[in-house]
Order: sequence, then C-alpha cells, then structure tokens
Amino acid sequence: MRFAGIFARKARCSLAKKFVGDAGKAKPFRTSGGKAAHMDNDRHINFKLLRDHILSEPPAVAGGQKYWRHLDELADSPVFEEFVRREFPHAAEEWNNPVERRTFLKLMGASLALAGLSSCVIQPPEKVIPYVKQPEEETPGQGLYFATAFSLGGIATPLLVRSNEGRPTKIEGNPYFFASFDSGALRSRSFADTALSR
Amino acid sequence: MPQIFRHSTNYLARATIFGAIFILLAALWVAAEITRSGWNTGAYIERQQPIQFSHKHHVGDDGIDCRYCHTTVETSASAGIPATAVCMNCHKQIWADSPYLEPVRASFKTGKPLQWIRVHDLPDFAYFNHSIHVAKGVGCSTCHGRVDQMPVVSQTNSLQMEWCLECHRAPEKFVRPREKVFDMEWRQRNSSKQEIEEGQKLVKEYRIQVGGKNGTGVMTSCSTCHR
Repeated sequence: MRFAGIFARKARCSLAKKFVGDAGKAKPFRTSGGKAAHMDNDRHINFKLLRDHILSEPPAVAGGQKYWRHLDELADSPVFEEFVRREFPHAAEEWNNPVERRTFLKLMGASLALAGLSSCVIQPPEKVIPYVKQPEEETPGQGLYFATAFSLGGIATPLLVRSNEGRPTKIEGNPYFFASFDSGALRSRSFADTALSR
Repeated sequence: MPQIFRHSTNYLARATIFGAIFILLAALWVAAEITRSGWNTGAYIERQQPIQFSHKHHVGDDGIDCRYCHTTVETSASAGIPATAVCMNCHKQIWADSPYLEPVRASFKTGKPLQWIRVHDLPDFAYFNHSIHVAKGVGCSTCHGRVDQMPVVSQTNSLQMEWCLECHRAPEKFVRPREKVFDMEWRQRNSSKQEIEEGQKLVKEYRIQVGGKNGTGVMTSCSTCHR
C-alpha cells in the first residue's frame, strides 16, 4: 500500500499510469472471474500484482539470472502468452504445396524472359557536341596517327598512337622501329611487312 | 431446364470463332503499324536546338552547300557538325550583334562548345558510314529529306532497318549521279521505268555490290552494317 501511494504521485508521468490501478484493484470495466484470474490477467498492467508475482517466484537456480526483455514478459500474464502464441505459432503449417512451386517457377521464367522489355522505350534525344575550333588535320570519325615515344626503363621506345578527336584509342609499337615494346613475333612480322612493301 | 443463353448466342458464338482469326490479324496489323509510326521512330518531330539555326534560310535562301559545314561527309563515317568557328566565319561580320547569335559568340569567346540535339540517331549496334554512301551516289535529300525547306530539322524517314533495306535491296531505285548528290532538288527516288533504267546503269558504273541472293551480296549481308 505504501508503494501504491508513491506511484499515485508518480501517476502524473504517463508511463507510470500503466502500472497504477485504483489502490491496486482492477479498472471498473474489466470483467474477470475470480480473484486468481483477476490477478493473472492484470499482471501486465498492475504493478502491485506484478511485484507480488516476481517476489513470490523462487529465485532462479541453475545459471543465475532470469532474463526478460520487457515487463510484459516478466509479468507472464495469460494475455501475453496469447500474444506470443499468435506471433510465433509453434505448429505452423508446412509449406509443401506442389502447386506453389510450379507457380514460382512460372513467375521466375516469365520474369527472366520479359526482363529485357524494360529497355523497349523511346530513348531520350542525344546531344552532339562539335569543336569550337576544329584542328585542320582532324577528321571526326577517323583516327589520327601519331608517331611518338615513351620511356621504358630509361630507353625511348617508339610508339604509334591512334587518336580519335584527341583521345588516344590504340597504342602500339611503331612497326618501323626495331626497339618496339611489342612481342618479338609482331616485331618480326612488321619487319617482313616493310620488307615486302618494298 | 431453363435456357441460360438467348438464341442469338449461337450466332454470336459462330461469329466470334471465325472473327477471332480476323481480330488476331487486325491486332497484329495494328501493332506493326504502330512500330512503324512516327511515335515509335521519332520521325517528323522538329527538334528544338539551343540556337535557332534555320537550314531553310542558310541552304534554301543563301545557297550554302552542305559540305561547307558538314565537312567530313565525303571522307568519314560521320558527316560532322560544324565547329563554332565555322559559324563565326560569316557571323563575325554578318549579324555580328544579333541576340539570336549570342550563344555562338559566347561559345567562341569562352571555348565551351555548343551542344546540339541529335536529330538522326541510329542505334549503336548499326554501323553507318556517310562517305561510302556519298561516294556511291546516294543523295543527301534521299535520306534526310528536303533539308533546304526545313526551318527546324526533323527526321523525315523512320531510319528503321526496313527502310534501309528498301534501298539496299534495290539501289537502282535511289541512286543518282555523283554530281547531283548535294543537289537538294533532285528526285529522291527513281519511280518511272526510264529513271530506274538510269539507276541500274549507275549501279553498274559505281560498282554498287548488289551481288548474290538473299544476304550473300555485300549490300544485303548482315555484317556490312552489324559489325
């Protein structure tokens, strides 16, 4: 009863209101039969009943602590048990209906076959962007070949670079030079080509 | 036992059974027409450009040749969009203060290129080369229509493979003398018997490789375009 007084004061806090009954009794509208049932059903909303229940339980033996996640679980009222049972049914039906599998396969097969259709839409218009001042030797669409070199281990290696609109697109060894960094086969072939072209 | 259906259901059932084939064919025909329609191909949509460049004025009225701006049409796969400097060649002196040309002058000053909207766009899996078509006597207006009459350029043909094959299977219907390739007023196709005969002569003269049957010649071979 002392504690009920304390909690009557604390009833100003909305959270504590849950656990305060009228001096420990149930609210008027609850229809429960018998004192025991009344105590069990209201344990999760009546702090005094909850407290009595916890203190009356024997202390946990093997393992020490009794773990609980929230006060409803600790109260262990029949209402909570019902809630748990509905949430996690122990004897749920097994999913072994063969028609379901066929439907699943049909759906997957159709999705795979029709997946490409997402691209069958009219594409947005593209932009075409020219130069501001086009270099004279540039032919857009055709590459411009540059004979250049780069340093490979300190030795200048001749390269033939194809550039499209200023972007280098293919870099290969210059076939007219012996010290090309391409494989020996390519070097000897290009050697033969130049010999034949003469 | 009471009849659920009225007697007229007999006629309706018979009509729909025979009509189903007709309805199916009609639906297929409608679908085919839609895929060829301008809604699908983008034909006849006038693409508004960042600058209101009028081909009708520059080509039709001023008589500028296509190649003055589209410089690489005879040498490259792409015909080329003119650089800002090409516009400024004339417009440094003509209409040098016009507000319509402000973006051109700004591009020339700042070095940022103009961003034109592409009108004729083939899908990336199809290879198209302008230079070979121009060299073999396909005129500009055959594919691009009467550009000299367009204040805003639109795509007049569907650019679908079916349309390309129309010429590739029978080039004598579309080929013209090389001197007339850039002539906007030349006929876009050869229709009369005499015109087709002229076309056949040109096909031989320009060595357009029509070759074998059903895809064995270069013109109708798949890998000519689908490289």
